[in-house]
Amino acid sequence: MEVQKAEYELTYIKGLMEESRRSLAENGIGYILWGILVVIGIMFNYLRLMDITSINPTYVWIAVVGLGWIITIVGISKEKKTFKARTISDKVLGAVWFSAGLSMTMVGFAGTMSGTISGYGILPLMSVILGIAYFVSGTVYGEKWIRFIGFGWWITSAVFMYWKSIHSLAIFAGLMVLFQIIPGLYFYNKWRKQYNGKQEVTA
Amino acid sequence: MSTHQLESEISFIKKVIDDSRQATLDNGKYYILWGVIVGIASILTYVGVKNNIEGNFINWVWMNCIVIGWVFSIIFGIRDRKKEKSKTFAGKMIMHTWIGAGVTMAVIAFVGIPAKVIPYDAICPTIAAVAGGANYISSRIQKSGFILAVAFGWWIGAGILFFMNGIEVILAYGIMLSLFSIIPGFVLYYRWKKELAVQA
Repeated sequence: MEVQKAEYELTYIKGLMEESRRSLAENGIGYILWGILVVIGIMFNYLRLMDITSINPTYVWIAVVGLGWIITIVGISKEKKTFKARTISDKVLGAVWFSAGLSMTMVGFAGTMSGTISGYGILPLMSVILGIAYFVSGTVYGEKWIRFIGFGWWITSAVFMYWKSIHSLAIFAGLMVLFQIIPGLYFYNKWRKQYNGKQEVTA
Repeated sequence: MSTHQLESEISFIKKVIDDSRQATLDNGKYYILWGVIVGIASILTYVGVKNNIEGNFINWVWMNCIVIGWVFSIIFGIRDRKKEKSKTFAGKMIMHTWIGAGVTMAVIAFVGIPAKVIPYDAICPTIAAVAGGANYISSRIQKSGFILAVAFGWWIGAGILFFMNGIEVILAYGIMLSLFSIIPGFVLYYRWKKELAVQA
């Protein structure tokens, strides 16, 4: 092989490897979707406890979590059909949020339905699981502020363990908007910019 | 491109390949460590509940066991770092996953149990659900079907534990610890030893 050709091949391989390690096609839709669904569930819980509505929050939770999983599974299978190459970072992020979702579903449903976890135990446990998810995601993205959100969720969990009030539900909903939906919107905008850039290059 | 530059490109590619190869090398010591420590905490909790030991015995047991687990994990982590095994991208992700799981356990032990938000029969299923999550992430990074099976073992076990009553939860959890933490730890350790011997 000529030296020039070898150089070209190496630069190409290096480029591919760097891209697969760094490029993340995170569109933030998962963050926004789950953030909104959880806020809806929590608000129904809060309104029921405040006697503003008579709707059983368990049904609302079954509906929102069920809907969330259906949309997520449909989204994943659609993505697989497009044959888009998934980087290792994409796969790890998928695993992080799948495991966080399954763990929260388990704690939220099995824990409460069995009566093992009290109403006041749910929020701190959800927060503690969100803490791991953000902490690991921060490592994958290589962005410190995402890791700090993880610490924020852990601190929130510790506070909710001692602060047992109905109003903690409303606070949690607010935190979901701040630390789940807003980061999701940030990723979405970043992805849009990246996507539009790629489209322009292709055109 | 100079020869020096070419060498640097090749070493970069080699590092990436080594990185993904090293990701599959889990020596299982954290599985054994945490399996044994949480196992001891569970046995002592069982003894405490069975014998109606008064005071903050259960809080004390969990706090101390988690501290011991953290101390050993930090020692192992420092040693690994010296050997530069955790500096790879994949290694870093695995390390942070387990640090995250460790912080979660610490929050549960130091805050949740003393605040009485997490009753003693909820400790084991909650930790099992968290362990399932951490194992699932590890299985994806290491592309290991074996660890994936361990992850689902923890999750299914957590679901069953939530519906079990009384002190039997801890007994069942002990069985789960052996099946999904200590035994996999030894399996990974022997695989790692074998892999090292092949590499040598």
